[in-house]
Amino acid sequence: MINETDSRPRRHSAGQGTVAHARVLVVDDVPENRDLLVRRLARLGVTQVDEAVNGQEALDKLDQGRFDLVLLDIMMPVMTGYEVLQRLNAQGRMHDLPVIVISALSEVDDIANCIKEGAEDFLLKPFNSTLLRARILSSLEKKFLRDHTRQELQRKQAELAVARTLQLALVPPPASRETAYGPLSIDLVLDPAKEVGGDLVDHFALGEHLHVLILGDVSDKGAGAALVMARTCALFRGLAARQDAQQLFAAPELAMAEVNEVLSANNPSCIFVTLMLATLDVSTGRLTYVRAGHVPSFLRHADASLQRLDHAGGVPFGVLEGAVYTSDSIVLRPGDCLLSLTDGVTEAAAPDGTMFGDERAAGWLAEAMRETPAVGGLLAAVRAFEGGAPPSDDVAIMLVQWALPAAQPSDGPQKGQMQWEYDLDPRPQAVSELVDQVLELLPEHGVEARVAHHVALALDELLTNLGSHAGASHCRVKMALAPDRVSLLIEDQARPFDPRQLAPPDTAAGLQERAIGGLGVHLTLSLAQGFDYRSEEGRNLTMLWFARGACPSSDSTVTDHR
Amino acid sequence: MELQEEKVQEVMVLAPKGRLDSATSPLLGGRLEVLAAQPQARLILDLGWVDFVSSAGLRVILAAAKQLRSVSGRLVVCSVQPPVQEVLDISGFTALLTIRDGRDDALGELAS
Repeated sequence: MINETDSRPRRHSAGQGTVAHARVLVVDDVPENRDLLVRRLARLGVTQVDEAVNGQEALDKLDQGRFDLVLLDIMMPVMTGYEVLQRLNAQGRMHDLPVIVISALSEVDDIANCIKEGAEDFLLKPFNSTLLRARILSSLEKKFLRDHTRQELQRKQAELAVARTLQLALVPPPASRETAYGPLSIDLVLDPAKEVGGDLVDHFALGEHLHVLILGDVSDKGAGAALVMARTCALFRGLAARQDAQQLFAAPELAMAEVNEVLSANNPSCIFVTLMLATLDVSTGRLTYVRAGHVPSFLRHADASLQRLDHAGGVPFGVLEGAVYTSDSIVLRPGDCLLSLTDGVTEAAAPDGTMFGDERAAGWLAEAMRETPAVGGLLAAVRAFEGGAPPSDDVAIMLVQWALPAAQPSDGPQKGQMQWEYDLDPRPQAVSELVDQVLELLPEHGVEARVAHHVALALDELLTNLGSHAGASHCRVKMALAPDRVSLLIEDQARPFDPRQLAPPDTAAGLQERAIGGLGVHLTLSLAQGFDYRSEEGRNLTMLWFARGACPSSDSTVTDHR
Repeated sequence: MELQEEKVQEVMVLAPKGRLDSATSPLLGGRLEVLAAQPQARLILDLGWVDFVSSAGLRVILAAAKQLRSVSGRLVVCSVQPPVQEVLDISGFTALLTIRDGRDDALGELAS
């Protein structure tokens, strides 16, 4: 808790209560003048009065203690009042120390110089008691008002600093987890424009296979938005603790509807929240997401193609009670990079008004995949783009990356690996015979039937393409078996063709529109967990691998339809 | 691959046995093309003995479905095995084709 004793507002009326606390320094070389001022101050209720006989002694006393007001004679031996003001100014101490200069009417120019140096007011000798009283009380009142304002500001800043620390603590640290396909890493950052803000970013593991990703934006900034942000995070975390959490997040539209019900009820200020909720099944790579009015996430594939997750899944939270949400899903593969962010990134403005925009965000993603990706880099780029101006909006960024597997079977069998090699003319009959062998061989060595099926299917597709379309009359196939994967390497000298360059078929098209081509490549790329292709000096190498004990397909495929 | 044919009332039931890959699919494709040319032809493709369908197999099934639509015919696929179901799912064919659990369900579908 903040200590409230210091923050209680002082009484700043010009009454006895205020001046009773005041400490005043009287500086004059004439003892009679000092005595007179001390008596007058006592009559006003100011009892804590100190005296100095010249400018140097005044500076010493000011160094030693805190004063609320200085009554400063100008003409003094050793050091004049004007010099005292110059010294105080040089030390930057004039802004919170009121000084009333005292002088004879003949010294008007000196008075003016002292006012220029920051003196607050002046008194003429001989003293007029009414003016003396008015100016002393007025200066003290202003001093106490300023003190009060500064203390209030400090208290609020301290509170907001605590709030900011707490808000940033709602963001979990970056994480990585091992999966059947290789390491999955999640990096994230939250940067409120003010001390606290309304952007939110969160992620957590759920059960053995699910990983939940949340990124959103409350329709406002500052403390109010921060409360809604914290509430939204807490609601999702609350759902994750429920018995039916797996079902709720496996179909994230259900979790969305639950949270929306709470945030929409009793929402008089009509604050709304745009959000992207995604659940990644790390055993299959399937990412199911709901986008409620939020900036579509960027998905960059290992082959450099870019996809936006732009399925519109429903209205922002808080807009409509009983709103229905829908999800879409895609399969992530090793090498894929998923970037989610708030409009604080895309709508960040440079001093000339240019917006950061989708293209710069996508550009950063392309760069990030060559370098070590860290979302702090994108945040720095956004803030630099704003040209040092105060941030205009909160920023939340999350990057999910599936590392590309390093091992490839191109350099011969590794420890614990078995390897087979086949030379063939890839005509249908020869391909068919090879598929027969593979379907028999792999299960004999403990490979699951489904994985063996995937390997055989990919071989059938790639070799058929090679024989029928690329015109190859010879190719070499190496198949390697490691404890965690089956790898294939196909080497040929036909016309170079990178299957990844082929546009994927529209698997959502109707019967009439559905084109016949591209299916084999699509199947192969969908089933393999890793794929690479290169062509050099007339030699083409196609490399792919399949994880053992996992399949990148939906659960519906295990249903027996017989 | 072997191809068994059976006529149940007015419905032709085709039951390939083995793999539908680039080597074997042309055989099924040729037969489907002939059968699907009949006006209002009703066909069942029973995949109960097929455990492997490559894109070549998908192509002949898609071609038959398109051809049948042009002659107001119908095609029902049935008894799809898990490995094949996975391929149908990934390629988007599950939504494109009429698929029933067993042959009787398929016959019921065509009778309705």
